[in-house]
Amino acid sequence: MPPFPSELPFCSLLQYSVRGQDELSRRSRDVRTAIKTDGFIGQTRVIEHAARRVAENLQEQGCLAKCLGPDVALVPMPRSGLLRSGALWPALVICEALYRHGAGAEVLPCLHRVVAIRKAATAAQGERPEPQDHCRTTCVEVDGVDRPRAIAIVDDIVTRGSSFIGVTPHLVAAFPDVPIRCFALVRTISQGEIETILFPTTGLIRYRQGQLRREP
Amino acid sequence: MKTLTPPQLLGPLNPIERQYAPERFYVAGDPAILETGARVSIVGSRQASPEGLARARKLARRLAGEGIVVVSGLALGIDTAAHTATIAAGGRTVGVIGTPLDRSYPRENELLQARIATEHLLISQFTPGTKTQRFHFPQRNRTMALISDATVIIEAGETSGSLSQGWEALRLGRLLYITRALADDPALRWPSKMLDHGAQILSDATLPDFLEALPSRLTPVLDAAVPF
Repeated sequence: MPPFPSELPFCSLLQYSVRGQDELSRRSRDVRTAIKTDGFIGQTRVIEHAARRVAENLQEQGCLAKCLGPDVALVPMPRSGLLRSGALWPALVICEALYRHGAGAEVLPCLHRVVAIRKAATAAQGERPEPQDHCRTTCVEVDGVDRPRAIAIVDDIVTRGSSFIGVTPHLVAAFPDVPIRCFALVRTISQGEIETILFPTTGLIRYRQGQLRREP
Repeated sequence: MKTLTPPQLLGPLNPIERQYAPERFYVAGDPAILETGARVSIVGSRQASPEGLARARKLARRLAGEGIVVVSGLALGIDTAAHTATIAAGGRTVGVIGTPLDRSYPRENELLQARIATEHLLISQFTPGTKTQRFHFPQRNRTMALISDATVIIEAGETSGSLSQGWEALRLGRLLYITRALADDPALRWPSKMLDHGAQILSDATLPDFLEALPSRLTPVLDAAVPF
């Protein structure tokens, strides 16, 4: 198995405040919940609305073009639990919405969770799954799949980026030399309030000496 | 009694939610209750243990104190404990029943059902006059999962109807919690299966995370604007 990358480029569209108490911070958590459940705010399907915002950013040659160019295969991140047939898979819904709005060349649901792991969002600090845990509990199935020109691993929320780092060796093994980036619809802001929910961002997830750091 | 479609009662639904949504709801009471707070189902066995009943009451009181709407099925045992504790705490509750609104089952809860129908909210997916069948109750459980932002199973055996609600909550991508006592019971096989598929354990330690994960309902549900 290839090694874990020491850094991985990432992009995100939105941000939410984990603990902020002002109205915008609390509303950002409603956005998070709606994305995780493919839900609506008012009459608007939030993932679809977000995909439109991504498309606007791409049309304006915004920062998300670094991850979501027209030649990219969109690979949905597996959920932390096992997936029953017909159950909601938010990352797949996001990929399909992005694709409908012109981001990416194809949706490639080739990563699968084979052993359930603890949800990062509800784990105490120090008990969150590490990249090794994600690598051990996922697999890739690519039989009959054409080699993509580039890959964007897509998830609903990015906290530290452990899952992105953890599944990357599987994709590197399956598609050697294909550039891999990652995209999350929402990044967490763990401290304080936020001033806006829409905040397209590019950055890096660093993994060095066993330490994960998302910048910004 | 009012007749409402799922979008009229709950707002628009995604394709997975539409799959088992009933064609219409028959409601008595105040449907606006559904817009006033996050909605949590408390469900479990009819033949519940004293400890299980106490857990249901304690959780219902806490949720009511947080302004969260408590949903349950008006069955004996855990359901009754959840409804009555919520009402006693001054909270709001929704009864989702497996009979038409013009019938009550079990008979013991006739007065409780009538109170919920007038002071809170009572929902059925079955047309008045429909003869009640056994399969109506699992259908009702799916509907309860659809109505609720989260489901908590307090106590349930391997054949409990609450399990159909749990699996439906997981299918919908909603929060599903089971009690520590269930997770640690070596006689039960279903808790580990549900935990593998995304259920979480509710305990005093995880309750803050559970409350934080619920939607805040800062604005009316049906006409809010997306804030980005």
